[in-house]
Amino acid sequence: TMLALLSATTLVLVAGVPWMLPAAAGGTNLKSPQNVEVYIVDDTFILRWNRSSPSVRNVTFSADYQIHENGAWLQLPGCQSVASTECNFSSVKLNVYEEIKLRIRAKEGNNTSPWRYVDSFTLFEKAQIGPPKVHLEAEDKAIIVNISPPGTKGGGMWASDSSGFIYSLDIWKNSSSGERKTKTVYSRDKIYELSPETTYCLKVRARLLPRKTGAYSPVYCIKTAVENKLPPPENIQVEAKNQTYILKWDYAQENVTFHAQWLHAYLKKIPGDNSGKWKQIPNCKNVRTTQCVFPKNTFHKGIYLIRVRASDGNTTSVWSHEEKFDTQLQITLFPPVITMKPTNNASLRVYISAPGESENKPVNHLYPLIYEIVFWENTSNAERKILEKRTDFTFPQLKPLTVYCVKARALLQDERWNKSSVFSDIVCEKTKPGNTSKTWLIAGVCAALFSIPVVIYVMKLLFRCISYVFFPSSKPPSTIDEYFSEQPLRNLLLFTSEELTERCFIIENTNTITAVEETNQTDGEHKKYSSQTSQDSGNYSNEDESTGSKFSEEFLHQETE
Amino acid sequence: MALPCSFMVALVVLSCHSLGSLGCDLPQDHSLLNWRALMLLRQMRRLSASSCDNYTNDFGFPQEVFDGKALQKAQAISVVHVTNQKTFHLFCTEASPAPWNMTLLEELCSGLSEQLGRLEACPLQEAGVEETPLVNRDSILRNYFQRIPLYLQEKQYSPCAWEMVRAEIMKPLYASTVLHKRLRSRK
Repeated sequence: TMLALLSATTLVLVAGVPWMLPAAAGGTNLKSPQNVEVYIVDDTFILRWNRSSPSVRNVTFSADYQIHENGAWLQLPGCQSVASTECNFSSVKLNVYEEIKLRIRAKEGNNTSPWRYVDSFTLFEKAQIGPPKVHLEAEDKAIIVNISPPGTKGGGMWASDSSGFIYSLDIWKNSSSGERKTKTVYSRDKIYELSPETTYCLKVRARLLPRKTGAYSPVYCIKTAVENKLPPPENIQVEAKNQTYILKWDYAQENVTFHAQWLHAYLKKIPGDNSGKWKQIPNCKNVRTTQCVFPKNTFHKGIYLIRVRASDGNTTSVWSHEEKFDTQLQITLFPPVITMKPTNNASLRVYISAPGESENKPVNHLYPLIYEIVFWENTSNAERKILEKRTDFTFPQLKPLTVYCVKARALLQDERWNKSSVFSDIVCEKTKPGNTSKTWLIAGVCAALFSIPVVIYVMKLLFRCISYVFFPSSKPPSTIDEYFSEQPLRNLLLFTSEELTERCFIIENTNTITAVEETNQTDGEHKKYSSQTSQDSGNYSNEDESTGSKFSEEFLHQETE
Repeated sequence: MALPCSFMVALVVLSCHSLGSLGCDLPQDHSLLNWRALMLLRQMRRLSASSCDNYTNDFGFPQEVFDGKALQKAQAISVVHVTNQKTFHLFCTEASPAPWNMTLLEELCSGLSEQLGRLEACPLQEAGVEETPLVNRDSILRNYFQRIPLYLQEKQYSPCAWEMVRAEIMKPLYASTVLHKRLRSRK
């Protein structure tokens, strides 16, 4: 029994060894590293991965890199035969903007795993911005901040980006109720409007556009100084006058002298100490007034910073706020010239030009302008104000045949510079008739033209009607003609009809035969009838008014013979 | 390879006429400031190209990065910002001394600094537009600007090397102005 048990145990042990040592069993089971990632902060390049089989020991890892597609794979320095699950390859000399590929595999003795590849990337793309270094200096009501950009000075990942960093600073009072404020600052800047003898804490992080935001620095705390006896000057302004600039400021105390300096504004973007780069403004040292005058040619075209401080001989104030001064904006804005033309559809087209330019030339300035336009109907006091960037625009669909007036002034588009010209001269114009009025006019004329023949026709009909009623015609209606076609009956009925011509012969005197022809007589004559003698003339005729009188005269004439 | 000045001015002046705003996307007077920068760079010329024959160099300007058709607004701002920032770093930091007229150089740096300040103040910059891996304009553009200081270093910052760089840098500034014009007309 003991022997059987021993044999069985030996068999189990022999069979189980390959399971316990899978790597030693033949090498084809060594798996590639998992979850390989590249982690870069400033100039530190780290490659990390996970073991495929955590329980396996004596496994090392090696990585290669490739610069060009189908190029040779080179050994990644710092990542050869690494026992841990990360390696530092910061020493590799690579262009941080050039695409590279990585691969890594595990190795145990003579066995190697398949390669695990990392998709191509650029070091810059993967790089994160580390925390900046911060140095603080306290004044009474301000803290001077001096920030060193992240990374290696003068080289490394951010070699050509050192002037491109933007710094975001969080500051709060070191008390339980400290309200946190965030400011964007230059590498060398000042935090103003603080309270004296107060501890403030702050932390800073760098940003690189378009989308890299770095890690925060450690928190730094500093206490502001006792309030200075002499406050700094305030409300610094620069005015242009003829060939000089006038620098003015406000100061409450008397018996002090002032000192003004200038600096190229762009130098603030360059990290480092630029305190030695401030220069004296001519005629502005030890001045006793709150202004000084210096020649315009002190400054070439550009943007400058100006600061002033006060001194009473024993004490010197801190520097004032740094006031930005743009020589291009030290100009007098002249009022624009307005031209207005009436156009169709009762609209008014407005042209704005600078003095001395015609309406057809574009307005060309080194600084962007907008125009405040005031527009009103001449007979009304109601004004309409609009802001317009264009120099050629139209007021559409106004009242036709109405006078409108306009005036304008130029404004600087940048709200930071509150500059405007005086208003231009007022220009008034009358609008043309509207298209709708014209349309009605044309329609009216056409209607009138068409209606004339219609009216004439109607008038004619009316006239016929009236004449028919009050002045009827002798002509029988046509219906009568139809019914009475025989002549005698017709003659009987129609007294006023035309007399028929008859030819009569007087037979009584056989020697004389007088043909009497009676012609038609007009209406209105009296009808007269005459009778005949016993001697029948043998001639009968219808008598009517027209023939009556003549006939009787003939008869009487014949009787007397 | 300098572009004909009159052609450049004509195109830039055309872009200057289109007043109007992209909001906070690009400063209103971006074209004007770029135009002024181009004019100043031209005035800063001190040597003729013929006297620097041995210094001719192809920096591989990546025109495709400035092609506006496929560019989103945020990507375009990024391209413009990188161009301005690298130009500022090249000419205005003291890391690389240069033989330029200081008055002209200071005015150039003032203008570039002013443009950068306005671009940096734009909140759109924080939107973080993701670029596709295949079109990494940012790295391509930065790689191009990387070649310039390396060239200067190699040529020991000689006046002729600076002259080549001065002429070369007008290409991205001009392309940035054209890109700005295209974006404004697209709106």
